[in-house]
Amino acid sequence: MDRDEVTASAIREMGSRVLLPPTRLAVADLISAGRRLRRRRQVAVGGAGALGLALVAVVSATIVVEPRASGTDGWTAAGSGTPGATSRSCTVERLPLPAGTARFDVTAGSPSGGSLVGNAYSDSDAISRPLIWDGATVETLSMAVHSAEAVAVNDSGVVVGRGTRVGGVTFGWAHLDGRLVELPTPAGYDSAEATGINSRGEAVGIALGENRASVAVVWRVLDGRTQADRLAAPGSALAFGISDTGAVVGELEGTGAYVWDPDGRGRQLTTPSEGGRARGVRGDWVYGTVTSQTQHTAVPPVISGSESPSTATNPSPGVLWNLRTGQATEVSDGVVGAVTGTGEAVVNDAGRAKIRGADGESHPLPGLSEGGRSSATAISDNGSLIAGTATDDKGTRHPVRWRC
Amino acid sequence: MSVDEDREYSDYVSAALDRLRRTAFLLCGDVHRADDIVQATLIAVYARWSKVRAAGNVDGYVHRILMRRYIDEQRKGWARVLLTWPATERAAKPGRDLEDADAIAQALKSLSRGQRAVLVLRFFCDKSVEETAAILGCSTGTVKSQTARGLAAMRNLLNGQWTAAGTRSA
Repeated sequence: MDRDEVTASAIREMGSRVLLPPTRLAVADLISAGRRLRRRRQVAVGGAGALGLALVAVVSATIVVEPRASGTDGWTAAGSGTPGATSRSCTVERLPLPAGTARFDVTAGSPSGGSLVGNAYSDSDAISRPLIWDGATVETLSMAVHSAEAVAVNDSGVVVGRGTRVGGVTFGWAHLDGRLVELPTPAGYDSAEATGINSRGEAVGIALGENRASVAVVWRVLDGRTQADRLAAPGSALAFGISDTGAVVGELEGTGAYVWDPDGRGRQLTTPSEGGRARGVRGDWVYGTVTSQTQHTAVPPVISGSESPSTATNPSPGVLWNLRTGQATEVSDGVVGAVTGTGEAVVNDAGRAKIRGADGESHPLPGLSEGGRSSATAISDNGSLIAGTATDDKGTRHPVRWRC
Repeated sequence: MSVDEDREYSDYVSAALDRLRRTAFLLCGDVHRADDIVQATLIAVYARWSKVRAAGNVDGYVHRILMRRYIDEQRKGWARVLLTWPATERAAKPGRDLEDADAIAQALKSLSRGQRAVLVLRFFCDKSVEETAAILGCSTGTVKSQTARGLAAMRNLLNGQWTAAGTRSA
């Protein structure tokens, strides 16, 4: 057997031996949901002639966020009339896409909520082009690179991301004043990407070496030149966000979530369970994931017949850290998509986006259709603007903005 | 849909569910997201079941839908870096079954989406080059080149530990 056959055999074997936890999928539920979907499609087809001409670029729907049982904390349904209770409702609106865009994502928003970034993809996913939404308009960022993805934006409209050359080598970039600035890859490393940017224009990212070891990098402009500073860490490190004061968050591989103070000193973030990764930061609040099982992977497979315990724990629950207090809070009802400087967050679970108050209460955000899927990846610092994607009653995904 | 068709659908799901979950898991590396992908796939399949069964190639259709749902899932920003950033590769360690399987899983995760999809379809789902091309909507040449590149990348990532002598029995 040659090596390729051995590798192919190993893939086949591993896939068969992974012991998955019992599924929550039931045939009866699938049939019920399938019937609903079919009915919606029939209604959509039947009504297309009358409604087709009435479609506008921005579709808005107002749905009151579900009231919580106590009804005393600002989440009471609007119009309930409860004395002393405030009300809060969120609306969802579709955002435009460049003509001909079938595949896209929304990756991040600026702290004020004024700008959003995402990407449009070719049918094969091989090529991507960064998008920026400013208010209700969208623009494709023009870049003379083979492929580029936008991952973060600040309130000055500076976008950062990852570029890919024809040969597959990646590099970090920043887009400002209508032009692309290639961020230098640190000496000794062969590829890089930018993952975050703060209000001071400091970009953070990751550089990767030939030996697959990675290092967290901060790019700063000094004397008109962009300088790449590596952050010291006792191992291979990843960085995913930078606060306005210069604190960088990420992961020390094999150890878990990690933070570098503005002076560059690193330390592990305490987690409810071991391991984990910090994915972003606003103010004192950091969000990320933790792994419940400390094997060798962030998403550990459980293998039948092994000597290790077959615990089918949630592999990557969400977590919020507060850098000032040092407290870590596990978010049990989904993966955190973004956080504000006051600890409010958006959480995604089972295809539904939710807003999670600083008090830990989560409330679903309205979708574009009943039972439709949604995902939130950005929230403004005052919690009033949220962005992501949602599916309409035909199952088509759209970029959306929620106003709360 | 008739009762008979409902029964056929139920029979298909009962027989295929485990395999589909494993396929989705190999693609996305997360059991919960794998279930989300499979759920969305099977709901879409039910809504078109009459046409799907009439067309004859149920499995091919289901895999096409599953791949689309997988790609849709990947659009989520939080998932992108976890799944595609190559720095999450970790050196494979020789040893017990768990470590071997973990090394394979890590190596798979580090491949490009196209390479990972091709390897999973060809070697876990036992699809031919032609079937894989039809599911992914690309040419057979692309499948062949992605297979070769994916296998080469896996070989490099696993540091040659998967020699013939190192294969494990199930």
